[in-house]
Amino acid sequence: MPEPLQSKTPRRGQERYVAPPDETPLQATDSLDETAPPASLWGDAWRQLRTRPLFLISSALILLVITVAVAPGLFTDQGPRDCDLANTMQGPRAGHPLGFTQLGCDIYARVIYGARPSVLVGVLATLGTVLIGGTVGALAGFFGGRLDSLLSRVADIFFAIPLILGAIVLMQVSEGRTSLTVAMVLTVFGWPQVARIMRGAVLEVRQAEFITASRALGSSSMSTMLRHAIPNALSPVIVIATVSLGIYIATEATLSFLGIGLHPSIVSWGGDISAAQNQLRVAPQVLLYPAAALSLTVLSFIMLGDAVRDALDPKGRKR
Amino acid sequence: MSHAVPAGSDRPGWVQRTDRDDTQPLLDVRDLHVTFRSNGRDVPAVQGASLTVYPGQTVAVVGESGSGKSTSAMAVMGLLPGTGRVTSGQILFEGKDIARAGQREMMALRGKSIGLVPQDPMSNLNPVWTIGYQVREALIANGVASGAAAKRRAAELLEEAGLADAERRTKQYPHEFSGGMRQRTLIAIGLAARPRLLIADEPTSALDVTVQRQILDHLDGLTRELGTAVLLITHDLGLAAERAEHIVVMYKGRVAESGPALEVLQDPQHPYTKRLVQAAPSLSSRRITSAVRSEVLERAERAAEEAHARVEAADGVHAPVADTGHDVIRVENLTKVFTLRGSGVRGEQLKAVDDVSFSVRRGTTMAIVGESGSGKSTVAQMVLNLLPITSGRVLFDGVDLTKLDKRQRFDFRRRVQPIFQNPYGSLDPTYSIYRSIEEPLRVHKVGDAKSREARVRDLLDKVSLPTSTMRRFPNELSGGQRQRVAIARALALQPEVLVCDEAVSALDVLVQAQILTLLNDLQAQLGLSYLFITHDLGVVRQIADDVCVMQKGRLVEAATTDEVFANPRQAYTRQLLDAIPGGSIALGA
Repeated sequence: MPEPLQSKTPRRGQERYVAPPDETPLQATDSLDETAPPASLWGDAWRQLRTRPLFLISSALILLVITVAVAPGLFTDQGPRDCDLANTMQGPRAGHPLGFTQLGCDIYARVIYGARPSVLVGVLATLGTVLIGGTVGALAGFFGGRLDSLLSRVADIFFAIPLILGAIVLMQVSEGRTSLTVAMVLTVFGWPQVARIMRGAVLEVRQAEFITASRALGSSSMSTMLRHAIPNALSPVIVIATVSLGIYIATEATLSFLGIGLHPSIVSWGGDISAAQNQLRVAPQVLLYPAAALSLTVLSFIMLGDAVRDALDPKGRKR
Repeated sequence: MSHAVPAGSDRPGWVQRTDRDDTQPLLDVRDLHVTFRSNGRDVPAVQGASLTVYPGQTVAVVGESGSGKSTSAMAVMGLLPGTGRVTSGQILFEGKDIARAGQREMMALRGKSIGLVPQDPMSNLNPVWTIGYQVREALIANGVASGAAAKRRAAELLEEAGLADAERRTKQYPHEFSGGMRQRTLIAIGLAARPRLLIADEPTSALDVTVQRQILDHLDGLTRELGTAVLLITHDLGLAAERAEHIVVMYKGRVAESGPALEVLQDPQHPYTKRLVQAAPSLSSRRITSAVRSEVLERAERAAEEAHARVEAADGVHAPVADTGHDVIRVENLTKVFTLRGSGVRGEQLKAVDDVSFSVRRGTTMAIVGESGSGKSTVAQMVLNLLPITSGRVLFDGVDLTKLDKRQRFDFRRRVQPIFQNPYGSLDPTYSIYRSIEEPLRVHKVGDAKSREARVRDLLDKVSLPTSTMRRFPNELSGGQRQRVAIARALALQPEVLVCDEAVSALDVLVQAQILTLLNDLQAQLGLSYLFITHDLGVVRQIADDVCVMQKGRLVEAATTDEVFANPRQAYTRQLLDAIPGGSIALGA
């Protein structure tokens, strides 16, 4: 029992003080600020992104790469296969700013035309991994139990196979070796990563009271998952997808370099780097330009991923 | 106040400081300003706070979240988080201004002269070290003791903080401790170096009331014995009045009123303090009333008939199987057994709810009160039909919930809606307020887009939020506003029963009072029945007609609220009532 108050005779100390009421005007309890602009989760993230130099630079670069990939004709009137052995290893000259390869092809034109297959592989592989990995991860995370065990083990099996090793084997048995084939192979070995992240995010969201509230409304599990769990679990997946897009482009280049990626008849950065390695000492520029284009593209996607992660950081959003 | 010389005062760490001058303030904060930098702007958190603590005195700083009470305390410790800094004013500790003291200087003061008992006992102990190690750390860091002496001293300190069998306890890890035991450990650490001033930042707000009382009693005795002054930071006016000689009421970074505890409480002058005294649930003594009970009951019956008609029009097969009279919900011998994971193939059994029976009368509020682990939330989950029942049954309007088919269960959802505790978790952050409130209507296919919008407007109006709220998102709203949105959403389907699981526990006192009044008005207007789950007996008194007291899964006592408060029959109920902070304080007229 605490002593009754009366026994605590205040000796000295805190003077009785009352602030003049007008100095701290009382607000209506818990009134709403009606002047502030509405801010959705994505709207907030966008507003934050807009001011980030990291985001502005990387998205400008990505936009450029995509434009090049969609319409290479805008950037050069040379064809990547208009080669003339008379130009072998010649230096830059008017209309051919980067010089020529061993086969006398215009390097600038090849760099420009090499963008499309790379970007295509990156985009398709990302779409594939997000769709498959996202679905599997969401189902495993939301329903849990045996379904989770089953799906997680399947994902583990694919996760255990090294990407490059698996790709080497699959690409060797495949016929076409177009951008689509490479993207499919990358998807087969890339989806478990997205699945893991999606599963983790959904597991976390599943604890939230709005999920219980949705069940208490009578919504089915499926619709609760689609309407509430997945939208709230998307941010980490978006971040990983952006970063992976860059990584898939790099992987495609690696495979092409090894001669098991895109068919040699397709102009690609990886193929050009591979072809240029023999003359690295005599003519480093032949290797340098496609390699620089590749690095810049991959870097932009990774930077974009970083910027998006900062903007979507849940810690920054709590008030 | 005479300081008894504690036994063992010759040991290291016992420094008697009776020789110091007691008439000079120990801590004198003068016109303190603290700002935080956010998005390139300076945001003031404390604007001219002043307070004085004399040696051996307990001073409480009271205020709601955002009032600057914790920020002021952290400024005294020199531990302002993030971008916070003191922009002007003085913090005089033993006559010396420490507002702008360097790291080294503050480090020497912390622990040794100013101790801290932090708020959250769960996260303030490092889970990878033993309890003993963490107490020793405090002793060694402050140069009080080292080696074997520190080991011995750590055990003594824990014993002194009220932990039985302290010697053995020093070898245990935090996860083996309950919340109350961890808080005792933190108190032992805070007092390890015998500081002159102990800052206790909401030391018990994460604990059950009965535990809170034990801990505070112990802290009181201990600091009195040692002559330590205490700066108690709390949101609970009742608790502040009971524990402190002086109170400082803070509002929006300023001191609204300060003075001797009893005087401030019985004769509040500042309008904010007046409001606070009125709203404090621990101090109020009556149920909020707004309409004649019989009228409410009448409305409830009418609401029930309408609901019947609605449901019957929907599928035509919904005959009640039992006549439950005025009871809208009747719970009979409800039991829930959980099988704990990770304990062998069979699994250990935990009886979370054990043979509980009660009923909710139409148009009234039934409160289930209990401490953590009492099974009260599990009961709510089963009444909401979100958790399978192990045995017993729940009758809703005479229909056994376990016997509902899918279609009937969907209809049942319309008639009973939940409101949850966490205002930050109960609304989907990706949904606008409009979508959140409209969702129930959409799921149950009520009306067309246009009529649904009209309904959402009407609902927002009912919970006194402006229509412009519709376009906003949950993260823009305060906790109380979100809770009002959650209520609007729950009311969308015109339910008869709301199950409120700790619906006001996370809110500031004034907001809490506002929400309780709103709930009460809505009950009178719409004839709702509430099942109100709470740990706070003060809230029970404000809103409930009947109470069930639960302890460890069992129903201990059930009666009308007046009866329970006036004449508690069980020892446990009496214990709970006694533990309401400030419950014994008589307020002036």
